[in-house]
Amino acid sequence: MISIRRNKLTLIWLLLCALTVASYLAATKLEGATYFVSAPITTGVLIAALIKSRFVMHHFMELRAAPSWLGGICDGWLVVLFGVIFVVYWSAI
Amino acid sequence: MTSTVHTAPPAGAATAVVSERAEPKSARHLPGEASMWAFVIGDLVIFSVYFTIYMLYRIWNHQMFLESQQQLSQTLGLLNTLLLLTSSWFVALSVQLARAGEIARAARLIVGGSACGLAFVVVKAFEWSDKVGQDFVFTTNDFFMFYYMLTGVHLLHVFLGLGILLFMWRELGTAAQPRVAMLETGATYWHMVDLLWLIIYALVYLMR
Repeated sequence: MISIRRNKLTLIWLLLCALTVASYLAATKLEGATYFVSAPITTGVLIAALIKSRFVMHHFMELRAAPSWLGGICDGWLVVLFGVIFVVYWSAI
Repeated sequence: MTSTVHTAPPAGAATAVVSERAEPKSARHLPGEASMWAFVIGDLVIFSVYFTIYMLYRIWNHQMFLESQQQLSQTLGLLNTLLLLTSSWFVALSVQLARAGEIARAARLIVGGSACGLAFVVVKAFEWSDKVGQDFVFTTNDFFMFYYMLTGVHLLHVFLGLGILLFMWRELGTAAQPRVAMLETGATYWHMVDLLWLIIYALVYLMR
């Protein structure tokens, strides 16, 4: 019988939830009631989103065991998408 | 290469060489149907275009986007993210259990995953009705246009995903021997829905 408690997927889920709550706290508690442009908060939130996306793809979507060309395409997509988001954001602040 | 495997080995040493070469390839496994992966990659590319256009509009009117963003409920955004992550976890576990032949537990996890997906829809409906009640509608400004468009297109994906989860549950409940490839295909779609939400949450709710 496979254990859910002692399962790598459960560890990944806990990490995903922890990163989500940390992002939420960073975005809502580090500044006052009024939202301001904040490069540190945005960078942290985007890096957390990038890590979470890769976790979902590699562990839940099982890309870690998939043919390497598919992992390459998906990792390439993540790099290009987040690269564009970062460049556009940083070009304006 | 394949013919080498089927040919009767002349010596034990030769067999060892063949299996050593073949193992890394056979250990790699495409989860689900290739056609689903083609769809997933296509969908990710389409959403990337949405995200890029959103980012451009955002930098062109950063202050207005920040002020509008402040009208969103951060708590509901967090709740919905945790719901989809939990749903994805249930579905990933379900596929793992189905592979091991634990069909009844796998079916129960699909029910859990679907319940989280339905809760996501309820929270989203509440959030939208709350915003509309405060007069923040599609035509209010560019931020709310993107908010309703991105979350709306994503919600359509959630509805389709819930239908797919229903098929997976039926497969686990009725088939004498559930098709693991079918379950993997459905799970791949559902995880993509989760993945897209993680990016929408960061761009629309959290970034400053």
